[in-house]
Amino acid sequence: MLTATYIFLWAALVLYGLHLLGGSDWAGWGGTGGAVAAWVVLTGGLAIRGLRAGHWPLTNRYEFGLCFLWALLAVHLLLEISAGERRWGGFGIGVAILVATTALAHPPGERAIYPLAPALRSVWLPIHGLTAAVGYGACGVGAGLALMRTVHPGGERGPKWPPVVSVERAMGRALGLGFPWLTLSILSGGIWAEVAWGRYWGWDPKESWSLVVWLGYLLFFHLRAVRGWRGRRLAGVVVAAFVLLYFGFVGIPALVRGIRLESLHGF
Amino acid sequence: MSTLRRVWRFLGRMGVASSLLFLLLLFSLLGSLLPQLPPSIVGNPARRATWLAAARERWGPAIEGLYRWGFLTLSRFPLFVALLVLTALSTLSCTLSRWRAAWRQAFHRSLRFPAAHLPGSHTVTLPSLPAADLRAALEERGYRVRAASEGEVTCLRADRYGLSGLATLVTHLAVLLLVVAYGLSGWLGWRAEVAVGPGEVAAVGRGTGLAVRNDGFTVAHYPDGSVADYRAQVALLAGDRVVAEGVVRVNGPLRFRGLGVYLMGFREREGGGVLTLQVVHDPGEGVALAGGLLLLAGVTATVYLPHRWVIARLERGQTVLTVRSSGRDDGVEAELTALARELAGC
Repeated sequence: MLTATYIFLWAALVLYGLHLLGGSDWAGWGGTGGAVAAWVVLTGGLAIRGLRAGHWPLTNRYEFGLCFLWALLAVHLLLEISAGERRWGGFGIGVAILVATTALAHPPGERAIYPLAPALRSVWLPIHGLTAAVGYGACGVGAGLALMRTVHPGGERGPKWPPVVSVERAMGRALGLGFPWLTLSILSGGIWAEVAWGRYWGWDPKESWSLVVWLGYLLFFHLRAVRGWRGRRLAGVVVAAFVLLYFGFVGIPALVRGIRLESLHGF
Repeated sequence: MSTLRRVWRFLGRMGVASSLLFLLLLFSLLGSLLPQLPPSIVGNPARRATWLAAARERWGPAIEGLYRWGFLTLSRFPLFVALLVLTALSTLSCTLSRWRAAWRQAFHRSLRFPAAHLPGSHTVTLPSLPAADLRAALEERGYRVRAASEGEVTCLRADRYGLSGLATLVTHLAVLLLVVAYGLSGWLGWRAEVAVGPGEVAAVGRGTGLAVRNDGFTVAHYPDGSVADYRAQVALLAGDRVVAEGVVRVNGPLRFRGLGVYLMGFREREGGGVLTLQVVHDPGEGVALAGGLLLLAGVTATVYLPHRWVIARLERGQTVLTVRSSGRDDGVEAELTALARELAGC
């Protein structure tokens, strides 16, 4: 399932790229088609995996990576439909490929389906996991758009690139969608931790890092609304915040394993 | 101006708040990358020593220095606590300095047409329009409309999500509550670890007069042999009287009057499993939950429901429309364009 998704994603990337650089409409439609196909295959694959396992596919880093990718593609497509703009598609799909590559890099042993561990038998597993996935996905789309803004040739003149203002607007919309979901994921994680361990905050590396990420995005909103930051500078903050988020997803678990920090998190 | 007032104003400045957030971010970052002494064993010298010995073996002798300097208990590090307090004060100062304006904006909105172009607003001039048409178009878009006339000029003000200006205050209040909760949990909360064998009774301590009794422990398995669930039958006693009893699971504590009994582990022994239970009293829990929910409400309202308002000046020969929004609302210009197009077609 992931291999097929991966192929569709690369096809979408190439077609979106042709649409941006060559301006051909068929390539743009092809890019959207590739993204839709990737999302449909992934949706089906996740549903089958969940049904086979008998629980939500959110129990380890691999499964969470798939849900992250699923949410990213969903937000990407929703934004594309609502804005009627495809030229930025390649950047969002680029981030999706990064997430998919990370998921593919897991060894087969980690990709196998396992029964639900006692610590994960909770109603809070889907709530916490799905809210995090949606938040991550929206922030991933925002990062793709921020990346586009940083390399944008500027001005409104280039006919091939979407206007700067529309890229910034879409970036703001993606992050505006993601931030409340990130907040909800931290809140639901705190409630779950209280139910499971008797404390809502325990300075677990993953918890602390989620706070780092949340503060990073809060800084973005503050700098934009109050300090009036715009343009490449603000886009740089979004890219930096996503680097923090991605490090939380990939780097923190690696650190937990590598330098043997203690963490209760499976993803 | 007194020094105290100057300090108070300084704390309420956005730059100071942003810097404090950034410093908190750095501290959290450090707390993620360095091993942290679990809060449950901070107050237990024996377990702390065991943890430190294991940590020394794992990470080397540098761990001693890090511990001595407080880097392994960053949540109790004086500078971190000071940062939290400063953030709370900064939030309070910011909230108090803003609430009047936010309140006015929410409940006492001016009907006057702005004398000059306001930053962030968008204006369009249309041919003369009947006030009723404009009112109907705005109401259809979810705006609440008020109008006032003076001579031949009619001023019309329409607001959507007018109360969302208060969302910032809600968010600030939430941050304050979270800091208060953290303080309450740290200073007034406690956790006691109790090991209790099958059929045995062990005192909780901490002046509660309570004891826990292990009435049995079972492990459920999946068909492949892996563990599905741990279930401990536990009774909470006050003297000889059972005041609460039930099954304690990993995600299912036993609760009794502000106390929670959690299953932390077990070890096999002849005759049944010895349970390790943790009895927790955390007066910050409810405050933290309230703070978290308010934070979510505030953030969501700020992001999804920005206060947007239209002020129209209808006079002979022309109608001037100006649209503005609280904070950064990217849809304002598009809304004005759509509205102008719709009105032009009237």
